[in-house]
Amino acid sequence: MITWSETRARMREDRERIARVLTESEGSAPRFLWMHPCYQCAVLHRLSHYCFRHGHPFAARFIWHLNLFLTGGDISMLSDIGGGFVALHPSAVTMVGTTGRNCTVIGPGGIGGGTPRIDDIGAGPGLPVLGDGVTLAPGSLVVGPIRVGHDVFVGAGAVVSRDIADGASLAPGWHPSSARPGELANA
Amino acid sequence: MRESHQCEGSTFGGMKRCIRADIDRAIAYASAYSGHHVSLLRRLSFALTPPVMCVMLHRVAHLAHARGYRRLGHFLARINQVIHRAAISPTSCVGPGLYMPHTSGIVLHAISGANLTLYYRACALPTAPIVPRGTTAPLRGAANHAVPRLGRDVTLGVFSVVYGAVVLKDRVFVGATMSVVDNLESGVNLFPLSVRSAYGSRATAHA
Repeated sequence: MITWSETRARMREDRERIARVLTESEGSAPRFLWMHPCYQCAVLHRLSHYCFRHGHPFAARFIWHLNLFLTGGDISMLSDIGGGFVALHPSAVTMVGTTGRNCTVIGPGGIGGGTPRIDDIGAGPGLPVLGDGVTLAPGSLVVGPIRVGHDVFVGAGAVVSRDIADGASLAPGWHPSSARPGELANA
Repeated sequence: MRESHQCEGSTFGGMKRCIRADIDRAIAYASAYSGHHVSLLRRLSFALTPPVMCVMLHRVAHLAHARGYRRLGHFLARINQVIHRAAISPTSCVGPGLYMPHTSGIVLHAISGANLTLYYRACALPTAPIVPRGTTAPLRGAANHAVPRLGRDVTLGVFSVVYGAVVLKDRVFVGATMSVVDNLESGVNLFPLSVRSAYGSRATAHA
């Protein structure tokens, strides 16, 4: 079960990484970072997840909905997201599953279930598990109970429904049938 | 965005002209009023519809940002996101005649010419400073120089994505669910395979 100190540590990692990313993209970090939707989205998810894991489902659900209302990010309270999470444009981002540290979602897209497979590989029935340093480009989706390795880049509009090897860089519009050698894990 | 001072909407008069063009375009798409004279009252009533309100709020946010009130611009853009669910960066320089029939899920950070049409969940974004692997220190401010540039009369369909420093020239049509990561010439129509098979040669595909 996630502790409060661990939740705070993840928030700190989120803040530092978001500030770094915004500095690199805009030249300087916003003076009021807590007003930025990217940071609000991460913090509200942390609180929602903490409440849910500590037996406060109503508070968790309320914060989840508040997040959805304020930022447009639909980050489920069930999702276990590692520190350093960045949703650059949280509007229309959906996250249900487990990710490692430094996960980045650039635009609309996300991870979740929605496939006929409902086996549990560690994130819940039918949900994916992502490694550290995974980046999702706009419009990309990771669906179903699959494992995505570390440092994977998912191109714009790609739909990932198979296990992906570490370090793979998937082309825009990628589909399992268009996979190149070395991209799929256990292939 | 560096080009904001060249944008028509960065002056008060230009913003008014843009808003007038936006309302005219929304009226042109409303089939109930096609061919009829549109009174001032009708024009005002159109200004209260969600698509036009969203566009107007972006125009004001962009004007504030371009005149140096950057925080006000971002604040107005944030209000726009909360009310209309459209994340339009105040730095986005969009020509007159912007039309978004359904604003939900639209994400826009780009430079565009006149008569841009964005459908539900269309997305035009610059390359993020996060790179997949290898490079860890991209150029400072790189994302602001890597915005997509759209020409006149460009249409982005439902769930379509335009990503990175690409140039889409005039009259480009990006169909539903298509992802564009490369430049497109004038008049190109992009459609998904299912549409191409249904409509045959009328739907031209370009990789």
